Amino acid sequence: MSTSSPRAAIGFWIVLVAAIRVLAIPPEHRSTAGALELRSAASRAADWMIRNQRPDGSYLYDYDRSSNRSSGEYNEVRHAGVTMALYQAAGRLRDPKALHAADRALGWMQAGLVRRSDWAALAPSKRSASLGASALMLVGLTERRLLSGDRRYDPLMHELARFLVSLEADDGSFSRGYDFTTESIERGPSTYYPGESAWALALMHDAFPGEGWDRASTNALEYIATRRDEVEKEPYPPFNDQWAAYTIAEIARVRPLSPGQLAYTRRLAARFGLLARTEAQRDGSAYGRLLRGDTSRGARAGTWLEGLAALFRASGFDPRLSDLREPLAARAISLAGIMADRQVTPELAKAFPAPAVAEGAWFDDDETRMDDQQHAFSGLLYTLDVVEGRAERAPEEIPPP
Amino acid sequence: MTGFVVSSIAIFLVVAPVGMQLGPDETRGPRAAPATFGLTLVALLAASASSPALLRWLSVSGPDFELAAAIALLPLALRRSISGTSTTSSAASSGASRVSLRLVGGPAALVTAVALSSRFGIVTAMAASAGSTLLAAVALGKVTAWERRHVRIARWVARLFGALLLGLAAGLTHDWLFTV
Repeated sequence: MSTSSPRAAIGFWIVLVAAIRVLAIPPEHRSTAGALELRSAASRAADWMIRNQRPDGSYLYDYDRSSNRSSGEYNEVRHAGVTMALYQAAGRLRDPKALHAADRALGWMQAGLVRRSDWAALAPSKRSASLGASALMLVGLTERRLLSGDRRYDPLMHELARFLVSLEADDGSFSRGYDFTTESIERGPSTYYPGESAWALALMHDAFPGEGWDRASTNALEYIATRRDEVEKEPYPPFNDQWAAYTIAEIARVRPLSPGQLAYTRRLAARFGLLARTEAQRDGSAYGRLLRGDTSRGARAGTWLEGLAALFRASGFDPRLSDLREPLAARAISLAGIMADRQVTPELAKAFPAPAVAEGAWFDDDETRMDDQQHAFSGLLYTLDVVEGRAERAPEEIPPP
Repeated sequence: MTGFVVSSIAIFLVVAPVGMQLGPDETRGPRAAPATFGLTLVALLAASASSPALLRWLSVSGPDFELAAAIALLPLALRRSISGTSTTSSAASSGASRVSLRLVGGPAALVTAVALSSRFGIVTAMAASAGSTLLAAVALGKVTAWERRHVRIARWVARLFGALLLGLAAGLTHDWLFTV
């Protein structure tokens, strides 16, 4: 850069500032969606999960609007996740239809249980049980117990929790599942299962305090916070794990986070913040795609929203995280607005070959999958708590059906 | 380190007159008028105070703006690191040169002030801007003659400031990546 000519210097700065604006900091999408719009979007997502449930309790797994077909695949972990979300809808939106649908989906899972000695695991194939499926089934049951006060599934909850603990090592890590064909533990790490299990065990402690489940959940969170990314060779740590964020919020309610957990919480919050800010710069245009890539599917952005909202909740329990409260709220509300804006509205759904499958969904190109609605729903629901200043996640009790 | 200390160091690194006397016209005497730093100070205070409104207008979050500041700092940092000179010259007395000199408080300094204001608060950034600009103005009066007598040493000092500016740019980039 020459400074001998002020004109050249000024020209240089004009070009540089313009380049920075265009290439480095494009404007972020700012939604005008408020609490009412977020609640409506969450309700529409819950309605999608209810409407697209089959008579046997399973759900429509995915749908491609270009072919007007589903792939026919299925996944029990996602089934358990969607069912958990429906219990959340039943409790927090006071939606009896959601409770009825979730109970039907619970029946599907009960038919897929395999029992050994003192534990039970969700294994519809009867050949192997993944840790994550049983963990999310347990989370769903804790949600059901909270909203209904119904104790009939307490024995099953303990069986599932014992399965999780049977796969937990002394250092807090988990094996990925159990192989019934060889009657042996399936070794090896998994991306999401440790966080799902840690959260499920933390909720077990909330449901049954004094039984010692908090030791298992705290041990698991310590492993996730201090060793998991290194052991699993995460290329860009920390891994954006919303289940770990839920666990942090649950543990922070009842005890101070350890130094390792506290440091991890800050790193995790920053990661979700970066992801949310980047998503806000994706506008779906050719320029936006070139610069920041495609807009993220509902299941991805939804998990970031869940993570932001969960860590916001944790920041209310642990004063050492209070400085994160404002930025976490800003990112969560921004991303929730973006999610609400991207949802297929009833009007837009009329243009689809199958409006009932489109309405309330988030599409990635031409495809939507049931967990797109699950994660977006949970993220929107708990961002409503951010907007409305609700500290606790638990629902108010409603009578069982 | 507190936000005030970090902000003061960052602003001083950007507006410090290090290497200013070592440009192509270094044989002439400096003509840096006090008004130059006065204008710089006003510009920095205005930038610090307007940070929230500016970010809203640009639809950019604070951490993302820190990335912009890091990029804007690179020309200044590289110039000082490599050649040991400033991007500004104080030597000539023409009106055009005064414009050039005011680039001491130009885009790099302004975006730094905005970024620091967003990160540490308006009051902190304004206080740091005031202190650092006054210090830089005093330093300009003191170091000019010394720089011209010890050109080689002065260039290495300027290079050190350039390296520190690169560190500041790296810090801002770190904040972009690791801030909510």
